[in-house]
Amino acid sequence: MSRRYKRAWRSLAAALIVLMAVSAGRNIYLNRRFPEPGQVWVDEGEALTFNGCELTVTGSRAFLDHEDITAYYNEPKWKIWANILIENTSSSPSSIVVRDIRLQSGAWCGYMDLFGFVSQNDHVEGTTITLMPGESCQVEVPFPVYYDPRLDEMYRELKTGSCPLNLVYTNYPVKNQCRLDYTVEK
Amino acid sequence: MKNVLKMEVRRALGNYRFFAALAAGLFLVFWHFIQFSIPYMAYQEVYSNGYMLYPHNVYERCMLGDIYGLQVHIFALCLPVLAALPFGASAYEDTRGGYDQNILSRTDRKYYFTAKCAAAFLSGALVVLIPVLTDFLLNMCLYPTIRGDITTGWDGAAIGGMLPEFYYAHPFLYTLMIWSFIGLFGGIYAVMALSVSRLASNVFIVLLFPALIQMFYNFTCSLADVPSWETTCYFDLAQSARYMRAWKPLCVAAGFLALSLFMYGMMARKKDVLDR
Repeated sequence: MSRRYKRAWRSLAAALIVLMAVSAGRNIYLNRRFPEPGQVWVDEGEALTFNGCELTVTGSRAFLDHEDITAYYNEPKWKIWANILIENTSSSPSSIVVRDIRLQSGAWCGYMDLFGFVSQNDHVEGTTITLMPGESCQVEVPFPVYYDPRLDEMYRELKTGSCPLNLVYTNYPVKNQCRLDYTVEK
Repeated sequence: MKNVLKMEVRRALGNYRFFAALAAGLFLVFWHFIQFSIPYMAYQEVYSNGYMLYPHNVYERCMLGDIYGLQVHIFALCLPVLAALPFGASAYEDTRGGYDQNILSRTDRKYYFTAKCAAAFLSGALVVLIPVLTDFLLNMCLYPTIRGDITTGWDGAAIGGMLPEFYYAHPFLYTLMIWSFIGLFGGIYAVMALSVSRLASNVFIVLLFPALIQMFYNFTCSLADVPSWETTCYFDLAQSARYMRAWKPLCVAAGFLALSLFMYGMMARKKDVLDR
């Protein structure tokens, strides 16, 4: 190897070492500033505290919705309904954004069906629920699982009720999760 | 053998083509860093409805993780050319220039061709891995290495892809796995270019041969509607191709390597310099 290329390699190695040192230092700082979120796990019936409110999943059910076949998804879809009781236990008005609640199963994540939520919950005006101190509200939140070839295994597990599902409400740096003990309706 | 190997490695890593290919790879990295990584800092520490949104992490913001950026796709398409550039045409040039006659009169034929193959594999792997490593280090300066969260929808890895649970549990090990695929394919493409040295009449054919093979192979997979077998899917962290599995890249790599080594062996088998 000629001297010119030796010099080029040395410069490259030096640049990489400097970059490694800088990025390691910066990354230690960034990891302190943005730590791994803490995980809070509860089961159905237990309360999750969030923003001065207590969220309790009082029941959940799953069923294959044969009627709700749309032009975009011409396969039947699963629908998971979660009944959530929201109570303001703080001494000041507090609000919860229901659409920020996600349904998770392993590496799959589902979002709330807005139309289903609105049609099912006439007593609330939107997905942001504001409660006075001591006030409580019960909502039924639908999560659709549209058919996709990637979800074959999940569909099979949903039929037998063995698919692990949990509701997630992330309030970084805390990830609140509730395991669903759902019943499969025929 | 040791001396020949040392000499071939020096030739492979100490030529202007190696640094030109490296510069092309680094150009893509800096382009992505300036166009996406730096501006995306504005979306870090964002508050919504009174609470902070989950922070972005280095695995989804680096070039390989950012599948919505153009650069990772250019990198995947150009990977065979980048890998072949440093030493892929060396056998062709040695034959044309008469270098192989000189070296073969001094050492065993087997040693020379084995050393050349190893040096080409090493140069092909290094030339694609250095930009990828640089990209990761640059992004580590801006983003934390915390694990991604599927509920944010920011990380591309999802159900049906390749080991998504592993990605969310051990993202760094997952990244190392993707890097090893990139290095493996880089090395294989460099050997593939070497293997057609005696068949080609032009150096451009030698350098573009791996790219043409990749293009033809991916086109065939695309026609057959099996995207998870396309090689370009193996070079990003999202791995969102349908039915993607970890053994598929290994199968494709083994097939390509076997084909390349077979062709290389056929080329190296010629007994006399007058045979060419």
